[in-house]
Amino acid sequence: MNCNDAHTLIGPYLDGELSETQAAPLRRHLLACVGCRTGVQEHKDLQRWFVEPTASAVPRGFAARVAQAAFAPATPVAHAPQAVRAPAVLVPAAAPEQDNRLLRYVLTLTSVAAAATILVVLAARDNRLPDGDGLRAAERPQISMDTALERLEALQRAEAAQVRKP
Amino acid sequence: MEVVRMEEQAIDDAALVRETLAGHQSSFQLLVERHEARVFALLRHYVKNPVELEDLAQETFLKAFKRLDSFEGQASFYTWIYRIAVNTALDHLKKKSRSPIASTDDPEVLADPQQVDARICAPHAALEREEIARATQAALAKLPEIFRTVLILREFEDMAYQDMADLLGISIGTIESRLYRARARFKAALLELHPEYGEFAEDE
Repeated sequence: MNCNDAHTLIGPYLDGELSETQAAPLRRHLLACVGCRTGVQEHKDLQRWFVEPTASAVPRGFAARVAQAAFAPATPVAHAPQAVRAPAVLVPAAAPEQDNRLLRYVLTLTSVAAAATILVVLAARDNRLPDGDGLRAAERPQISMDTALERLEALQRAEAAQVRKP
Repeated sequence: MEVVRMEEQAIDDAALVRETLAGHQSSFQLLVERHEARVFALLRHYVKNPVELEDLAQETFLKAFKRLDSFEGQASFYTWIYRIAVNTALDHLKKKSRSPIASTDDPEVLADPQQVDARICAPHAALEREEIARATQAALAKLPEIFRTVLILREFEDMAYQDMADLLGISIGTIESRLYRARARFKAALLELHPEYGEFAEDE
């Protein structure tokens, strides 16, 4: 190893960055070379210049101000986050749209079920009315689905009229 | 004992992160209080104006807040926020500086450092700590940013070459060569500002 090679390795050596395979030849060179040993000492002296000032640079109340800015709603505050993010578990980003779709589906299903129930009730009332003192029901002529729907609409109109005129 | 304390700190930081994510402002404030001194100490190497310094520190912590859900607790919170602080400082300098000396392509940056025919002495025992720090800060301020950063990371933060390489997105070989040049330039800058700290070769 020559002095130029040694000179470039002194920094990594003192920083603890050389493997033993790399460090061993350097140490042998240093034992034999006064000039490079002086280089090692100068490197150590240079490192002693790197000291931090003792006085803290943190202004009073800094953490409180930052935390406040972080949690403030999106306002034009300097460096404030654009929006305060709610925890993902509580409010997933896609949740509102999914909720709306589910609500629409449930409402439609409920309306269809309600209409079907009304139709069945009407048909049963028309077809099986009690007759005399017995529990036997008189036979009534069958009505078509169209007729049943017309009667249902008429019934709804009548109910709506009653609501308007209490 | 030190290891145990560090682990406790790591657990506590991770817990504070979770609490912050759950919406606790006081937990985030505590997290900032824990790390503000070191973040300010780092940023002070890049900006001197106290208002500018506070702005950069605030920007660092608010960036961390916005990305808090990406902190997975694998590294220490300090390492994580330190990376954000360094990148914030470098972005700031990039925006602010119009000097070509900040560019890694600049011939002056790439050139071998001027050899100074003097030996730098260790700080004299009579010098106050503040005096040493002031002289060092002044010398560092004269260096191009790429050299200043590697010196700060190595000498003040005692960072391993691999960590520096990961942080700056460059190879270990580049770290080594930048550090070599940075130390030579720092020595030259310090001796230019303070020739009295050098041991010059005796006149023949």
